[in-house]
Amino acid sequence: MNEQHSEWQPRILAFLCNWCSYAGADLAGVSRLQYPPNVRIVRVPCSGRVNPGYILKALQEGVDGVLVSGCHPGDCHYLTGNYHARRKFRLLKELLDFVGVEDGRVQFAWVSAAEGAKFAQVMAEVTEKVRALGPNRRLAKKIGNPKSQ
Amino acid sequence: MTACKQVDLKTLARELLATGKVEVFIGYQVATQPLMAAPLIIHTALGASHAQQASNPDAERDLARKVDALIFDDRCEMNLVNYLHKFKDRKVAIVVKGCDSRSVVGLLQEKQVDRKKLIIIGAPCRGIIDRRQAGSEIYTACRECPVHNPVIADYVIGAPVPQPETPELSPEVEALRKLPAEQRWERFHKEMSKCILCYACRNLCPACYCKTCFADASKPKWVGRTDDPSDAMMFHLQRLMHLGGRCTGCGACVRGCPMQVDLRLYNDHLRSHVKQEYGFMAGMDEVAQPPLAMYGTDDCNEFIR
Repeated sequence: MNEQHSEWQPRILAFLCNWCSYAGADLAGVSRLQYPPNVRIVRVPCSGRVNPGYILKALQEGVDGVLVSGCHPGDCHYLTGNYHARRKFRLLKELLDFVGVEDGRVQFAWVSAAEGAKFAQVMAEVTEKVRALGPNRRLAKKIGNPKSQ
Repeated sequence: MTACKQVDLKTLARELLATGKVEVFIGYQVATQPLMAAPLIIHTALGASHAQQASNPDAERDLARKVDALIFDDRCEMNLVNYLHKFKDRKVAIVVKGCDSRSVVGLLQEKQVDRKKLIIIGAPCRGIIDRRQAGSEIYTACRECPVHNPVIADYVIGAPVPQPETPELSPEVEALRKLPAEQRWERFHKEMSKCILCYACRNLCPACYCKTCFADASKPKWVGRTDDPSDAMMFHLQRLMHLGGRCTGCGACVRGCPMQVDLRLYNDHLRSHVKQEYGFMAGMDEVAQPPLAMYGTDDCNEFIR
């Protein structure tokens, strides 16, 4: 294995809402915009569908960062899903900050279907922030998870 | 608290059970261990009418004996509200302290109990003695309790007690907030490493009433069964999220924990966040909407790109 392959790369999980952010990612794709390949995308019906448990479980399973992205406030396909999500994520962020999980492990964004460029930029920023934090060692499970030894 | 009748506990219990106003009376009795009280649940015979009940001397004597065993004092630490879930379709009377009354209000808010079938007997309380301190002090949750008198009651036993000044936020949580993230993590890791995932905190919590808890689910398996602290973290972080804006701070989880995990720190932090952000205190107002069940179009958006 050469030098380049052994270098640590952050693994980021992105929950994108079907109606805005996922379409934004699609637009970034068809526009041939470059963004870091560290992001794995999970398509969800709405940002309000993202159970905080998904985020925590992802961190336990060893991803280095989680991004949740949905429609801008007021633009939700289900009218209020992202408003509910915002309160929930605020609480989660407050809790994670208090227990001492690094700021930036879990990030949130609003990206509309028209914002392909913003999507690429958000991905670059999120990846950089997580890269600066280094590997996720705090919440990751050590037992039975060879990747996070 | 609205003005309501001050009564004697045993007289009231006798009357309520004899007239058939309640079928189940939930209160306290002396426990076999020192500085502890045990729950006492008095049933009238299932399906029996008052006349049948009265004509059966054995049942009558048994009932009288149980009513005589009822107590209320500063050993009655259990939050009896948990039992309401078990008697949902029966007419119930329950003895509640200030903190427990907030749990009842929480359940009324969430439409988990029927107010028409419930008689609430408020017990003003100066704080419960901490048996782990050999009875020399009251529990921390009691020292910082803002409701020594029940917020909701049909009857009250004893005179209202004075409400001491309590800090807005527990000093210990305030101190922890000021520490750098590194040290906060160390503390969290230390607390979580003690946890043996016995789920006593969940079982004792009146707000944890889901029939199938995520912690018991095997598909998906949210909480692993290893002694890696991250499993305890998954359980507690998710439970804390479920209790955000719902926890009343009764302290049942801390008192019941066999490993002395200080969950109060984290619940208190979230409770103060919800109060500051949405001006909401759990279990104070029966008709208020819990903040995490609604939204505001002008909520804080600063943490989102």
